[in-house]
Amino acid sequence: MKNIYKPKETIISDIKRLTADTNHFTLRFSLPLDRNNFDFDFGQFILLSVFGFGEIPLGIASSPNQKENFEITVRKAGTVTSGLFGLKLGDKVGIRGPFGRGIKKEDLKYKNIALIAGGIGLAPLRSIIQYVGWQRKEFGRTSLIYGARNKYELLYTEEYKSWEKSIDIYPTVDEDIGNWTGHVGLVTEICNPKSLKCEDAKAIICGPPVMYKSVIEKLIDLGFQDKDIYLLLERHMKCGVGKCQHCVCDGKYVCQDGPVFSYEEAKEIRGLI
Amino acid sequence: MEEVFLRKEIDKKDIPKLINALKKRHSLYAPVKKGKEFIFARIRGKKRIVLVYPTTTLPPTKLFLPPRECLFTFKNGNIKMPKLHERTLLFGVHLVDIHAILELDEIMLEKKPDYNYQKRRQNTTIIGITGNDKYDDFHRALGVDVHTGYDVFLEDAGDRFLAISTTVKGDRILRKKWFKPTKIREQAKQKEFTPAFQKLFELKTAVAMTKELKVWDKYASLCYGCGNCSFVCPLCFCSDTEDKPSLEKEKGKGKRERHYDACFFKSFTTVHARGAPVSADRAEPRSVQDHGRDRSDGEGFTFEDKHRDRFYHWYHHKFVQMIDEIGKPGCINCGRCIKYCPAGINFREVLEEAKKELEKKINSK
Repeated sequence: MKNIYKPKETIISDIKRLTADTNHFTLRFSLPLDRNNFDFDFGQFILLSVFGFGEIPLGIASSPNQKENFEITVRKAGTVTSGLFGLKLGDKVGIRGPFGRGIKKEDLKYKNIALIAGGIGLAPLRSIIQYVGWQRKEFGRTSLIYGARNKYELLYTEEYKSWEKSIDIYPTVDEDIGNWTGHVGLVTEICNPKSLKCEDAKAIICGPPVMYKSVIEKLIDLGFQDKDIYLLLERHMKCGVGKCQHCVCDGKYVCQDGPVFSYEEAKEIRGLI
Repeated sequence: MEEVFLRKEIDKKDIPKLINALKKRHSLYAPVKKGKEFIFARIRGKKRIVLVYPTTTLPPTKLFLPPRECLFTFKNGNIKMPKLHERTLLFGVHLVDIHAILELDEIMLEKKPDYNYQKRRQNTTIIGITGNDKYDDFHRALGVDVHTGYDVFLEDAGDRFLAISTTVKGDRILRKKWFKPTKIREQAKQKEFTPAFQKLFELKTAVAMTKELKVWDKYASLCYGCGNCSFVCPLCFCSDTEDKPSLEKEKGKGKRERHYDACFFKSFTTVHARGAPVSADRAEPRSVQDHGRDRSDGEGFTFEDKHRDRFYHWYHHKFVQMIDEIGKPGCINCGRCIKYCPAGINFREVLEEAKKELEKKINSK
């Protein structure tokens, strides 16, 4: 009998510091079978077990075509993440998933893509950015509009150079500190026909809860259809299989029916955004 | 060919002897008196079981989904699953509670089966008993309709019980010497209930269409948010998990436990996104309920931040979401939540009032 609560064993094979409180971890499955079976759609999530601390939902930050291992980006925020930050290379953590409904690769093929991220919300979008870079010919113009608190909170800054070969990056910050030369202000201020292509395009949003409404409004102004706007949503997902009820919103399970909703679906669900 | 199972009778005086015999091969749980209340207790030694009782404090569904249980143990990252081999017998379960077990089966066993629940359920034999349940219109509206879900049912017939088996396990019990051939007729009452879909639909709309209306403000302001109603409800199954490191010297050892949670608690929907802006009504003075069980550390972001919305959520889950999911509401009208609510909230009144407010709203248009 299969036990849906049993995590699969993975080993931390790399740790990289991104900002003062955010680390990037590379995880490798201990069993080849688990590794071979691990495939995911963009936006699907995993449940990470740090033994002795608990389990949390996390987005996957690496491309699905990266088969040897996968990566997650974690901000130290609560008990489990603090536990994770105490671990070192070679330590074991547990993985369940991937869970939920993501965005199929085929849905984005030959489309222009607008990625709009806020803060740590960039992590799950990184898997799309990497995939687009790998299969560049299969996608249209891809732009990333990314807001962070300040210059020092921007994630993956080392990778922007290689990303820029395949996508356009428009960063913005809230606080103008540390000789920042780019834009200061909200992400909505830099969403315009110049920064992103609005025809035959899909928009994917991931960020803090307050960001969604204003970004959606802006995108609709720019001519995006409701069904072409994808939202990656966050909830307190505990079991991942629709039993524990923590992520339920108006009768819909964010862990099963989501975490990706099109705006067409999301506007029918009360209190979702 | 449809299998025919045994049908016998047993003298009420022989029940203790039967219990003694069954106890040898099973962990036996049966209703006993505790103070002024009744509970399902593990029967060891000479504990007196009761054959007639109103309702137990905790419903028997909680034996399959205990308040706190171990999901697995771990040692240096290696996981060991629990062994759940205990053969259990549940004696003296009322029909409404059996109905709740069947409904919970649909949630826990269909689609992705819950391992612990499935194991416990497979190892359990259920003996039902005639209760003093008075089936009213409300039960009919909820569609309480039970003539399955037990291995043996003991139907009260004065000084004897008519014993009806519905499974092979049940037949095995009925072959014991205390069961005699019978001529007693089964009472028709058990089979009378047909789900009243009309009324069910009425209930569902009364909840689904009234989220913005005052009825929820009114009752939420009475509610303390203690979660009692969830903990005694046979069909509340929200859970949270928690890792418990071992206190022994050995490092990296411990277990993951699952325990009850209730959607009334503020922490139920908190995510620890540090620095995320808090929602607007945090600025308002917080109500008693929000202070009461706020286990979040003040950081993070809480969805459904208002106590009122969490209060509504409980009803929405039971009377809208579950009807959508399995065609039945998450309520069997056992009355436990009414009995143990310190604020004296009666869900039937809440539903009636929601219905009335909805009618008013429709008429005023």
